[in-house]
Amino acid sequence: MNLRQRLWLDALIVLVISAIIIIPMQFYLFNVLIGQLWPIKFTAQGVMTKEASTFLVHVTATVFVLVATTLIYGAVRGRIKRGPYQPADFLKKNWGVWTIGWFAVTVMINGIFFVYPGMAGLMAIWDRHIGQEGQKPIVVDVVAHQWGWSVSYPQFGVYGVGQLELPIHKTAQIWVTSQDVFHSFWVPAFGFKLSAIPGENRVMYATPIRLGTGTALAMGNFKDNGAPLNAKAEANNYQTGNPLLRVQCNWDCGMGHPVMRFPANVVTWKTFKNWAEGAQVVKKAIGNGAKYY
Amino acid sequence: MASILKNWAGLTVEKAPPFDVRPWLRLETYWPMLRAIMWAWIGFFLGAWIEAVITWAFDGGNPIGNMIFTPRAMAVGYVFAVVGWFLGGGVLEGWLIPAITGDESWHDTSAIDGPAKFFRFSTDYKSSSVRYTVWVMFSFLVAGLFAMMIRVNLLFPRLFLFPSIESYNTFFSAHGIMMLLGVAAVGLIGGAGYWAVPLMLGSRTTAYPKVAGLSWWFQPIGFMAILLSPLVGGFQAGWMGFEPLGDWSGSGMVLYNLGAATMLLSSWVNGLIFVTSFIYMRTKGLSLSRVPIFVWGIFAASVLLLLFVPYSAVPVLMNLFDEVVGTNFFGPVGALPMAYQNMFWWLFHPEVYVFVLPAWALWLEIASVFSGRPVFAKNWAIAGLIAVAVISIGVGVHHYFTQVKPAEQALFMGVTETVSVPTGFMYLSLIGTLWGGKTRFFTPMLVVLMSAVTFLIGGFTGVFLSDVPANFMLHNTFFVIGHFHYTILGGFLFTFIAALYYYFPKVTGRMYSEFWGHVQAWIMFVAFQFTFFPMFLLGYMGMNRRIAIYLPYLQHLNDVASIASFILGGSFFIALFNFIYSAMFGPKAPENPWGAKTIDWQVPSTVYKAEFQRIPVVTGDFYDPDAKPEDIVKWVDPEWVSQQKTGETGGAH
Repeated sequence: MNLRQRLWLDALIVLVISAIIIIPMQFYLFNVLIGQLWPIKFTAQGVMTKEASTFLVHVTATVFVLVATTLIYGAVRGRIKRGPYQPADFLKKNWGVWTIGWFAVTVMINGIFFVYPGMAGLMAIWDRHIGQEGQKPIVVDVVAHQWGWSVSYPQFGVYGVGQLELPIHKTAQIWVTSQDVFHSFWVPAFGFKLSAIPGENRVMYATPIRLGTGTALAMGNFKDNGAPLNAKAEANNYQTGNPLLRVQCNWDCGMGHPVMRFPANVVTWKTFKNWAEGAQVVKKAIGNGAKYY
Repeated sequence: MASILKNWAGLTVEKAPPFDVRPWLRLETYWPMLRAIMWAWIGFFLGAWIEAVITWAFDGGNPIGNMIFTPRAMAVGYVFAVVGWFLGGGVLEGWLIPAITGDESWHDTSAIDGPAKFFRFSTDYKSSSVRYTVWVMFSFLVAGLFAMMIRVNLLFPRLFLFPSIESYNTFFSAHGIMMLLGVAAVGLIGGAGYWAVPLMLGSRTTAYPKVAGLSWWFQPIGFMAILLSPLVGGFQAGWMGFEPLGDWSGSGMVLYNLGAATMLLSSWVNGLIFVTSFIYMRTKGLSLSRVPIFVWGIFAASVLLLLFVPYSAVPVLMNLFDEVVGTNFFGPVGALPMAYQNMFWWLFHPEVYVFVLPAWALWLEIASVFSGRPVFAKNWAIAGLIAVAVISIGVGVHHYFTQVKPAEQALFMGVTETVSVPTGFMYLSLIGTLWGGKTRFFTPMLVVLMSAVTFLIGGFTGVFLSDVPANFMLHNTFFVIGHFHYTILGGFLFTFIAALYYYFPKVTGRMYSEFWGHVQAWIMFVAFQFTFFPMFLLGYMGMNRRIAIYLPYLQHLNDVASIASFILGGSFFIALFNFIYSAMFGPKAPENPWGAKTIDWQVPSTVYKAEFQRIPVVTGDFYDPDAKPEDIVKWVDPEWVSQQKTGETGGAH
């Protein structure tokens, strides 16, 4: 077999090996990795980020296997014993097809990624801003400081609490700012975050779609250095609450950065109203919120 | 003396002359550098005292004791220390005095033998290269030790090794900046760049040789500023030094600003040197189409450095002024804290391409040599290098998508994703170079392959981060840490190690141990995957960056990463011992063991003085596998030699 035939046969072998790896891998990715491990499920916006990540995993894993297999096979196929330099035979022409083809494929994949999940995902998230504006979101005002959070629900007269309670299926308009250094407001289960910038107010929208109780296992259950307070606390740590449903500061803010966290809960509307009335600091200042809904 | 021929992995090598330890034991070998250290200390205290006295004269207070460790005193002291360090190291006799009297005898190193030529200010680029390489290895070990401490702490959800969260914060901040500016920015450019590029260009010196000789001297003192910053309070603001946190997290921040600015200056000088050398110092016959691809990689990186280092050095200095002079550029009230990030990332994104552009180019050089094939689609690869350099200028915002407005998010997402296309050209070229070749798996080839596969993973995870919807979840989590370690270690560091193995025979004149090279490479590669791949999962599972304590549900994956990281750290010691032992006792290396055709392999080994008596004239293609070295480069006598021979004096000299 001459050189040209040998190289074509090698290309075919690479494609076959890649297919053997890629097909089971895609099933594994669908079922195991994404079905079981992907934790971002709690907001409609998070569904966007989760779908973006899912699509990217599938495509990039496929391309990775193709490129890595070609690279490794190409290197190993022509392996000779180590020794002095030996020039290889090579064809001096007809590689333009591969080069232009590679370029075209990469530009195409790049274009696809920009449109989906890039712009399409962004438009979907922004749409939830615009679409929900007319539907009277619940205003949540979050002020970060070193090293804690102060959450207020002005429509309900609740100010300065350390809890994030959100009613399910209602969009929350979350305003975030900082009193001192940069912080970042992140609930891992919600699937996205927003930076708290000193001197600026930023807004994000969260529409919870699933009920859940969060835990941050902060003070109370832990000693200051992070060890569990007692055996009961240790036993309860892992059972009560979803650790991903917590507000976590996500920007390096100094000494208290790791412990600047508290639980987030998604509850029914009724539970939320009862809680708000119980936590209300300023009664009737604006209203009890009922006439907004 | 009878030479004993043995088989070294298929090559024939001789036994080398025994290692002479006596120069290493003499004090005068180390003299200029010891004097530099002394003058640096004296300079620091002199500067701090002068500032303290001036402040006392104007403001009152106690001039003895604590006033010399105020931020402003430290800043002034540091500047004096840098001057003392330079002067002591040889800038006094080698630059200042010649500038006044014209006496250049300091640079005549023909009487100096052995290691003494490395410990002085010198215009010899090979000497610079060795200094850079050894210093980078030292920096890597120190910053790596910090990383080991971090991973020990992260074995458990509670604070474990460190006495406080502040000390942990200080250590990860120092680890980051030492690795980035002290290792990654100068490892390949300072080490392999200074060695190979002037030789590949066929020139006897770089452009501006005194400035080039000075560039290394910025590194140790900047590094020491960072390393010693815990003594004056440390800094917790991460390697990026973000305000306003920087003002409120320890007075070590002043030393961070000074140290980072100093190390950036080193890179800036390197950028200047390589850009000008590439344009003006190419030898006869070396047209642009014949320039080896490694030179193109260094050139692309150098253009980025030359243009963009000020973008980051300026906000770092503005930061410094906030601390010592009383300005309010980046404070939380009445200032623009976001401005620091905007300015900072306009260098530091191109900076990461500065790390990897020479690495990609070196992949192609090494693959071409060890596969016996020319570089495939060389012009596409060069276009890829230049395109990556150009596009990388406009992607900095992707580091802070969660802080900018939607229009910026969309725009920079588009530009960032585009950079993957020219990066792909490097893989196109690498695959084509290896495909159908006759691959000899010496250690450099093996490590280059590992580097390419690892960087590929890192590059694809970058696609996740460039996509804004996915970025909203992943920003500032451990996913990012996994991504940049995969790209920087996989791209830069593995290639740096491959370059160490590749150039070892030429620099030291001896061969390293091939068996231990392979052992080290495999341990490093496997341990690396187990160390950093779990971080992608941890990011999605809700672990954010820069936390000394975490919630218990994250412990299992952290333990996997930590234990693998200890093995990874250990593997570097295998390489270190291999190099040190082989440099002393290894067999004698042939002049060109790998069969490379570029000029850096056509000069005799370990020649530091008076090489290039004859001038290389390039007449062929360096990548033609069938060509012999004498077909590619002709060595001709310079004009003054031929004039001597014929007895003519010629016209003007």
